[in-house]
Amino acid sequence: MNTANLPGDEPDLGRQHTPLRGWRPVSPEHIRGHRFRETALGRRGYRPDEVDAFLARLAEEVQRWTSIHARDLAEINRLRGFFRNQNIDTEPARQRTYSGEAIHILATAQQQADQLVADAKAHARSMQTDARSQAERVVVEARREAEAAAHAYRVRAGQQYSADREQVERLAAISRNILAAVAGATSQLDGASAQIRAVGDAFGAELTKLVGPPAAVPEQTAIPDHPTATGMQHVHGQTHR
Amino acid sequence: MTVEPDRLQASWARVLAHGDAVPAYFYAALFARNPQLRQLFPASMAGQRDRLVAALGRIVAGVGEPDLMLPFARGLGRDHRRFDVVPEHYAPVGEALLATLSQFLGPEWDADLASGWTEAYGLVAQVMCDAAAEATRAEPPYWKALVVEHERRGLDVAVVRLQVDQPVPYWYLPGQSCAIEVPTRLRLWRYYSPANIPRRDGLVELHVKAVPGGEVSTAIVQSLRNGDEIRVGAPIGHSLTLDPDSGRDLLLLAGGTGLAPLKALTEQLAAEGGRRRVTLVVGGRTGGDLYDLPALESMAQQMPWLTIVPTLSHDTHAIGVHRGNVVDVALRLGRWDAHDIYVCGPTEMVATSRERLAEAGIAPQQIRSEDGTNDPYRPDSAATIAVADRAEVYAR
Repeated sequence: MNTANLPGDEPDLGRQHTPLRGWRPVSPEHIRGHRFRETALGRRGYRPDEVDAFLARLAEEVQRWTSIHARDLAEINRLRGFFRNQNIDTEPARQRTYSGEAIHILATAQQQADQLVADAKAHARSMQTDARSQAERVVVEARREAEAAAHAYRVRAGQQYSADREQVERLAAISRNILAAVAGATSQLDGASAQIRAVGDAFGAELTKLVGPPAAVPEQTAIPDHPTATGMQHVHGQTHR
Repeated sequence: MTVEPDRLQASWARVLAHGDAVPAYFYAALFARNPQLRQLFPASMAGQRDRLVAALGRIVAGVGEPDLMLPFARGLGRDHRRFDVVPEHYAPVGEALLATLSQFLGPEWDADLASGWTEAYGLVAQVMCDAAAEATRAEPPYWKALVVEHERRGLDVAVVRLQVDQPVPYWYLPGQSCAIEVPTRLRLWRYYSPANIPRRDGLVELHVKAVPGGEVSTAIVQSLRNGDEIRVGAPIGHSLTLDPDSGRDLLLLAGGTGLAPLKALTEQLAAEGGRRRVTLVVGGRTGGDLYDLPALESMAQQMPWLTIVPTLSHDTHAIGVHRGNVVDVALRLGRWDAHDIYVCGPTEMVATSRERLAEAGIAPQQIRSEDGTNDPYRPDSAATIAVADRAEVYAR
């Protein structure tokens, strides 16, 4: 007989109805009615009358605890109902137990999430940094070659020199450079799109600098209408805190 | 007080010895019990944990010293309004705090400590709630604003103009900054300084640089659109505002988008009549970093007392700009012993500028810059500032 299965072994306050797997309640009747098989002839065994007497005592004991338990449970439920009717919280908040397991799972999950975010940020950081320095390099190189092309044009143009033509030489050199950079960046799988964007932006900015804005460009930072001096004093007099 | 402040502080020190596990446990306990509170926080809790520990540390250090602790708790209470914190949130937070302390103090957690901590927390919660309620009578937890213009300038800068909704006017001092929350990065606030003086129509111009890996700045530069609705917190900070008693000329040193508050100061000086000479040295690495030069030059044309000095540190082909870093160029240009000097930009730029100016014999009290103290909360300015976040703001 497995004593762990005796009812009353775990105090049941009517809340934790989570029986163990395979658990069957043992009633006093079960104990009283239980018969052990007799051993084979010639083998030693317990005396049946003593076993029966012990089981009877056990059954009585279980009976006693079961009824005490039922009575206590009824009393607890009665009190709980009473307190509830009186609007008294029988479970002060901080006495409720925190589930250690739930907290552990949550903390671990959060830690993993934080790590993922941190990794993503680090990845983005290195991509953006690379893209920026590459864009800087491309622009500096393109500009250097543009000046070299302009210089070469001036040398060979002689009498035929025209400022427009010089500018065209510059632009052509820049375009060749930028296109080569774009082709190079496209061939790189990792981070290609960020680099292309950076290079494209740099290209646009350079082009604008050389030939002016493409078309109607939104008005740059207009000076706002300033409040009067008294208006500013209003700001000074403002106490935010 | 049922327990000596010393004992409370000693118990906190022992809890802190457990490091990051402490805030991790606290938030897990809070959310296990109150899942509905999780949405008040950002996805990554990494920065949040440091903030919690820092704030609790200040409060614990101030136990028994109301002059120290009360202003801090008031500021915290006022500022937490923009995080949608309401009085009902204080009880579950208190529970989670006590559970955390008991968890890490083990057998040492006794009835005296429990009641001491309960009492201290109750006091702080009360002060925070009262301050929040009082502040709400004067101004909203945050202002709503519409993006009316989003203009990308060069590789990684955007100039954003906001129309602040003003049932309550959004007034600030030029040089102050405001916390911003954008719809694609909810629960993440970053501080930016308006680049203009406050206007009656509520228009605010911000200069934002996408910092590599920066969650918020990148979203603002790359994905914010006209018509997006953002939130703006109350303006804070007084380290970059003009001294109303000074009539001295000014030297303004701007690195990257650190230009914004200095541009606002220039507008303020114009509005005050332009009686002081202003030299604004604005710097970057390469040409694209001088993202606002046309606007500055047009200001200088209208304001004879204003001199703009563009500088580049890493561009060998640039024409018409000074070469070098901002402070070196300024020191080459003249003497600044009798000037008010304002410095704003990336952390290293500010540090270098202060060093070089000191070497040139300029008194530290002449120099104004945002204080780089490693303190996530600024109770005196009634707001929280995460210094780690600020790195995202004025980067080049």
